[in-house]
Amino acid sequence: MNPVIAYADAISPCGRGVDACWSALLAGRSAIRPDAPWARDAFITKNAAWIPDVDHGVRSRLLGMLDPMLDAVAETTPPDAGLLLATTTGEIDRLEKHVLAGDFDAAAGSADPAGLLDVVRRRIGVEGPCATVSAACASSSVAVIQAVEMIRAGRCEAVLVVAGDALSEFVFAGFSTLMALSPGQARPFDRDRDGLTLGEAAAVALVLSAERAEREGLSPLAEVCGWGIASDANHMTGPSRTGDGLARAVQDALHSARGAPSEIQSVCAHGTGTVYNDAMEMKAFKLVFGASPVPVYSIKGATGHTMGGAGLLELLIAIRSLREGIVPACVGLNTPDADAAGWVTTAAQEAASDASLVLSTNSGFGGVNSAVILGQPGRVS
Amino acid sequence: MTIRAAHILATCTVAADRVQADGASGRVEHALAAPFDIGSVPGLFSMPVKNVGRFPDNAKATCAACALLLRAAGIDRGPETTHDIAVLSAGFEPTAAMNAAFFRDYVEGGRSLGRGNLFIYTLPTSALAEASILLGLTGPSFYIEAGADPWLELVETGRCLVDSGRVPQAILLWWRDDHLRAALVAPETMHSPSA
Repeated sequence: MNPVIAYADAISPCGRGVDACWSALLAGRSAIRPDAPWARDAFITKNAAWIPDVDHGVRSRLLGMLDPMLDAVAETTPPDAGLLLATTTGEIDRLEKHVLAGDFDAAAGSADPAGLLDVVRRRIGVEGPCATVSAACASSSVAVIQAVEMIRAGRCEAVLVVAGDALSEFVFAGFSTLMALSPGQARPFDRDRDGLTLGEAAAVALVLSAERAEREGLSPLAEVCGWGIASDANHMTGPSRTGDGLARAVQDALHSARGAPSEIQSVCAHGTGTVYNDAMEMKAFKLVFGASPVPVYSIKGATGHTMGGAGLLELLIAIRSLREGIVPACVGLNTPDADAAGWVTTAAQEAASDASLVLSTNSGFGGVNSAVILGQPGRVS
Repeated sequence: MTIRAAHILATCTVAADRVQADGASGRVEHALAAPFDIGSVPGLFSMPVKNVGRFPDNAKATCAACALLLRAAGIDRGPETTHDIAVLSAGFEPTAAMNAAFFRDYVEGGRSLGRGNLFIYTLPTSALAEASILLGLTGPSFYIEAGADPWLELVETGRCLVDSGRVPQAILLWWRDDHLRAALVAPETMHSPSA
């Protein structure tokens, strides 16, 4: 039996909980707004999607984002569970403070994610294997995959995945330098898309063996049926022009799920809103699904690009789509690009009743691609 | 019944002043005249590597380690060749240093524009990406660091990937105390005594 996700929570610029994000998507509502406090005048834009009222009394913004979710998840997480923390820049605001104060010696180690991992481990009270996982913007989907593999290998019966990245001047400066930001607002898969909009999010998910979930009395939200990870081996910041890396990840995920392309109900794509990422994804989907369009959507027009938190947040939205039987609209999309027309969703729609799986994909710097396939609990492959 | 376990095909270490690798194709040892001057290692790369000189030290070391492991294991490294090999790493020190370098440079430059060639190395996986691009490594690539025993976690993760048949080989890289320790692992089939 496949491992299952039996508890999940999230905080995003759309609000607290997966419900808040789901409702925003169904309403076509974006949380992107002007005048982000981390943006400088020289940057391409000051638009971003951020979480209001984060408690800065704790050691970092990311911990402030996670903090409201930790007590509840601690009650549900078995003490023998493992713990994986997925992030790209982690507590980078701690480093910023040291550098801005001129304390360069203290700066370097201050954002080591091992520090946050230890704080979270003590808060949750788990005693199983603990590690930090990072794979650029696919970090948290790779962490879910690693949790599944730890369970399949018999290393533990349950793994809590904690994921997130916070907005910061560091990140804003970097993405602005790379000319990756939209001067306006991210419009994934749109004909006139011109870049991504930064966002921030944190999420948690408890992954268990199906047997352990049953023993714990936890009702699974979804099964993790299959996964794939593949590298483009092509370019540091640009995606493959052929889409073959992402296509291989999706094909590996289908193979491990013992599923056929026709079983995929919808795709929660990475969909950053950059010209090259979205074009690469459509090429990959066409390599896998051929001439049979599958509904594709991105949530980044609503949440912004939430970096290390994106994979898990999007996976939880994909689960919600599976359970509700609704494919949300691609927020921010006005006129689909010619490559994406007939695939991307311009309005929420009912999911096809003859397909039982959903696919969530991510791609990141360095050419990493991940694909996770989820199904209703108890699916027979 | 068979039990599959990881088999070490090759090992290597890369330090500022030397590289060393062992595998079925023999031992390679080479002293480096300048810190991490990996371009001076004879026959290390089978393609032009002019950009490698601009990489940060850990990316140079990662590229060298991956190339050395493939050579030591007798795996073809032709310029047009790709390999479905996983690349996993641990060790946060180089990322921490690059994060501080990028943001310090940005602040000292007036907080208006950072340097892209510093920013792209602020991720723990940036060095892995350079090695994947250089050597055509198309398997899973990610950073995983367990505080208690990073090397053991790398071995366990790599073993799972090869043992499950996901990839034929996995490269494991651990940066610690200014040098890189690495291994190439593959599945090994052995008979259980209780079979």
